[in-house]
Amino acid sequence: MNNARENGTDQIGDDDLLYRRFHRSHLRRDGSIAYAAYLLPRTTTPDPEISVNLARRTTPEETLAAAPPVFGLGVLSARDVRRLGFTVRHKPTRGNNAHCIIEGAKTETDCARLAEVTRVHTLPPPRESSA
Amino acid sequence: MLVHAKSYTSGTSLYAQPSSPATATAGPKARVATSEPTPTSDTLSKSWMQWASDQLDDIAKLGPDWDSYGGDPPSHLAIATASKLLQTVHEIFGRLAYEQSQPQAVAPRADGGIQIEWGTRPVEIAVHADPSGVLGYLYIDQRGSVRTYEEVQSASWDKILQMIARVVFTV
Repeated sequence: MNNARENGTDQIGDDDLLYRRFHRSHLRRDGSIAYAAYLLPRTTTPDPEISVNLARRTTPEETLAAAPPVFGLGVLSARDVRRLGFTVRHKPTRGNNAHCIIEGAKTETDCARLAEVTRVHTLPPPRESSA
Repeated sequence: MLVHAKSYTSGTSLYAQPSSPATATAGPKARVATSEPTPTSDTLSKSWMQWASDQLDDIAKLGPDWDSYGGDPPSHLAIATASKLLQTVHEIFGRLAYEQSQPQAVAPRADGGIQIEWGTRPVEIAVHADPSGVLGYLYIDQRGSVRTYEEVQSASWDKILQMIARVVFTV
């Protein structure tokens, strides 16, 4: 795996793992993730960029801590992302050196294919009882 | 608890838009898993509708950036359409095939819409109501050697119910 840094960014190897938070509503009853977890706001232009975190630059806990406590964590491999025809690259942001983007997913089908190769790493907390 | 989602459809007929029985349009290869209602099916199907209503209640409370990636809050029209669709499926299919008619997910979409999913591999469907209440779907069939995806952005109620029936009544 080549992790060489160029201009402050890491090369993403096929063996690299990527984290994606998902809202608890996106957990299907069969334990998989609804592809809505990969949809973007309609205002996103010009090309969709799906945010993920590079696993070796963060931790599951740190990734989940960036959102309210109603999220679970999905994990997928860079190899699977590329096999589907998408690209993934490291794009650090202020405050998140692990930030990466998946590029090329432009349709619902693309999002469904990404969801199919995503595994649940951390389940979201259960909804509070409202009885 | 309050079931907010139900209020969106109060005073309207469940059958106002879906005008024909969708069960008649399932493909010729479809098989009905449960051909007759069982004594407990009504009680059971009520429970999944309660679960679905609770999901919609949760979704209705979401604000901007609810997904932590900049998602738009769900629109009232999307929630109302999703609620009506769930009640329709519950009423039409729930008595015939309780297990299969229960959605796999009732989920918000980052564009302000709602998505409801039925089925598990190899046959699944995700029906979405966009922020203006327009229905569309993604149908996934992995039964053959080639996985097929049928993506439709705008479809009639009849077509949506036909596609849900294809999943619910296929085992």
